[in-house]
Amino acid sequence: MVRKFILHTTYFTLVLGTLFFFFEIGLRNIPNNYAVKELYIDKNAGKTDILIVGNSHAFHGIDPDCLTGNAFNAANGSQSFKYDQFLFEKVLKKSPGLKYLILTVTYPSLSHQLEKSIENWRIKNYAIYHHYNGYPYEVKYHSEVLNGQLYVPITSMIDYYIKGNNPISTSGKGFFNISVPQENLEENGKKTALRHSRYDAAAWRINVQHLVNMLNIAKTHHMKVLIVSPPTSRAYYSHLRPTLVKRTRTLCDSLAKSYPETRYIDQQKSTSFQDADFFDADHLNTHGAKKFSMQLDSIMQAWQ
Amino acid sequence: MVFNSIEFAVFFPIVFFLYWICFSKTVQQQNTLLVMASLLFYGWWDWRFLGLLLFTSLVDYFAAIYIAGTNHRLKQKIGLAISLSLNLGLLASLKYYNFFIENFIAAFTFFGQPFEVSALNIVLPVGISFYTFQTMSYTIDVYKQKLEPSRHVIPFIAFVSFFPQLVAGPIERATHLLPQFGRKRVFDLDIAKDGMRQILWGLFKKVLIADKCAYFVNDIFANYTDYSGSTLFVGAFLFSIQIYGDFSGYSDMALGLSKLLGFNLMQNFSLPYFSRDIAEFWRKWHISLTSWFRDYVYFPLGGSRGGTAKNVRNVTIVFLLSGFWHGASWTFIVWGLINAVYFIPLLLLKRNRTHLEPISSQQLLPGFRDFSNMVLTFLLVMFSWIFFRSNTITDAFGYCSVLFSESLLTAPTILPKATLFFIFIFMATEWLQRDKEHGLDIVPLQLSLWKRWAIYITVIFVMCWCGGQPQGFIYFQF
Repeated sequence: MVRKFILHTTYFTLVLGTLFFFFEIGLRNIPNNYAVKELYIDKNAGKTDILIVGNSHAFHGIDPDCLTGNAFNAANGSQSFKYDQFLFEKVLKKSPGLKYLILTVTYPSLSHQLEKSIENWRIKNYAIYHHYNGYPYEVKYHSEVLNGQLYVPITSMIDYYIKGNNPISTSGKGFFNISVPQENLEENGKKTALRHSRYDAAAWRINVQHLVNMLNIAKTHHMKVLIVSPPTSRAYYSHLRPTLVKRTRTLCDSLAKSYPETRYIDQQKSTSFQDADFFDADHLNTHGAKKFSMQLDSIMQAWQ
Repeated sequence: MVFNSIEFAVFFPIVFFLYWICFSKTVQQQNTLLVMASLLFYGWWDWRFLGLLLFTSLVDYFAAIYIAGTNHRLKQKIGLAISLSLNLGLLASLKYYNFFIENFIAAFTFFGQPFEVSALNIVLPVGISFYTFQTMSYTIDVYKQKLEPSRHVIPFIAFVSFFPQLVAGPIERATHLLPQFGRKRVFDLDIAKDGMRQILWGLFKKVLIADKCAYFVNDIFANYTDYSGSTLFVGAFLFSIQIYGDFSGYSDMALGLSKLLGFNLMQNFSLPYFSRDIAEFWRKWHISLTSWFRDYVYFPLGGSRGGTAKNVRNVTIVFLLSGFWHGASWTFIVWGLINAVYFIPLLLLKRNRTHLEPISSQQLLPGFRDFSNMVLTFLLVMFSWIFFRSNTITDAFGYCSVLFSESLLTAPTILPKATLFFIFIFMATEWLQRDKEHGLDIVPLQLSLWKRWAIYITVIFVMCWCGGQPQGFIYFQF
């Protein structure tokens, strides 16, 4: 009876394992932004002068093609500073002649840790596609199927294999280059600002350490660093917590003062950007990104 | 290691194989393997905890033999006192020392006599509240001559350290579990398969229900001042589901694992959220703990004998102790008190034993009266969970003040539709399977092998599809 049970369980495990295997292979074969960016790093990192890191505000907001020099946008949605540092170090290894680092610090980013957020399923993208080895024993961070958010890649599977859609939303240089319709900024702004208004002291400490690490590395390599807070719409910034805004700005100012060749550009409340420049309350659309990127380029050109 | 971890997924099959294939010839072999496996399991948390577990087990083992070996009542009482003082003393020092010191200092400071005493930096051994209660019940039962003491140390240590229920219960009675270590376990295929199904159901509750709720609960409770009353209502509702999914899910896994090893553990939950009043709820929630307090606190205090006032006093003491058992914090004590306040009116009106029959038996849906009673009971319980979940009393009252403000009538800003959908599926399954031992008890459906496998694979895929960010088990902190 025990042997029969073990046999049945083994058969069931084999069936399950086979299904998982095919799902895993099928999902890994779908092109995705992380794989595209890793391929760029692999082939072109050596030629890169300007590296952009950050979360979705940078991914949507800074167009490398509008910057003078060879720029690459290594930002991704919900990317926390830990992965910014990881990608910075990775690119730097291949491109010791990197000249500029554009480091995005936004209102929610210092209290954000990808591991603790609802989007922690993205961690497997760093492990699988960028070969991040920070979690060697966590199976869920090395598997498309076992990371607990299978509906995300499954919908990608349906989109890719059944509908034939191209899931890539990044240009060759890592910028989000798809036009999306604008959302209701007023509604979106208030909701998003509330969601972003969390102060997590522990996350803050850890993230500041990552920032400091990146600044120290940049200093060692004689790089110029632009700490940027990209533009946001009035509907968003009018609902931000003033104490948290001030705390972020004070930190960035003090970092810029403490490190040579480091500047802080705060464009969160910039009046040069109107509602037409945003696709949602805190993300620039392609037009707004072009405008912002050209502003950054002028700053960098004047800085030389 | 926790049940839903890779380490356990490697550990248990090895134990299972060794247990039924290599160490199955005699009961001594089986028990020896279980002791080794349980100590490895427990030591995996922290090897320093092992010494304490073995020490308390051996003291209780010898205390019980001493109690049974003498007819002298005073000597028996001394033996019992040694066991109880050791177990309660350990709990008091490891779990409650800092609480007492802090409140002592606060009281003295309030009266203008501040003084300083250092708090201890204590690591609370996992499961201590569970296994100390389990061994205390053993020595008490031996003292009351309900049970003969175990004369063999290995089966006794296996009983205390049995890994499926060591760290979060059920708190087993020696009269129920210890005899099972005294006889050789024989593999039963149907029970083993049912054990697997129960483990899967427990995992489903933990991964898909509890962990999914946890993300929103953590945010809402940590930032309750930023949200409306309606959102806080959603938070309290989700926590009610989270704690049930978490704890009953663990219990299901513990029962399922035990079945795979040929053991029968007591049921710890019996669909408590389908209760029609608070009394019924407390007959169905964390049954092993509530029955422990009933048998070892309530009855010795006199129970319902001695008049209404004494009965009310005894019930209040039990609820306060139950709250205090959960943790060294005023939030748990207030939670216990709130439940006492709920229970006492039923006691006074002699309505605490009215709903003893199964709910809506032979009916697909509950009647209007039963449904209303269930909803009301759930809301009362949900309110009390606010105190259980809050970090401090101030936070709990703050939460309630926002909850019961006019913003309760606004639309909530957090309404996780996917999570609520899964909660609905979960509760509907529990309702439809309410006369079964667990939600995945599908044997009566007499489905073919492939249909059963399709159901299991679907459950597993749904867990992978939409599982929440892994959280620790709530009851491990107790």
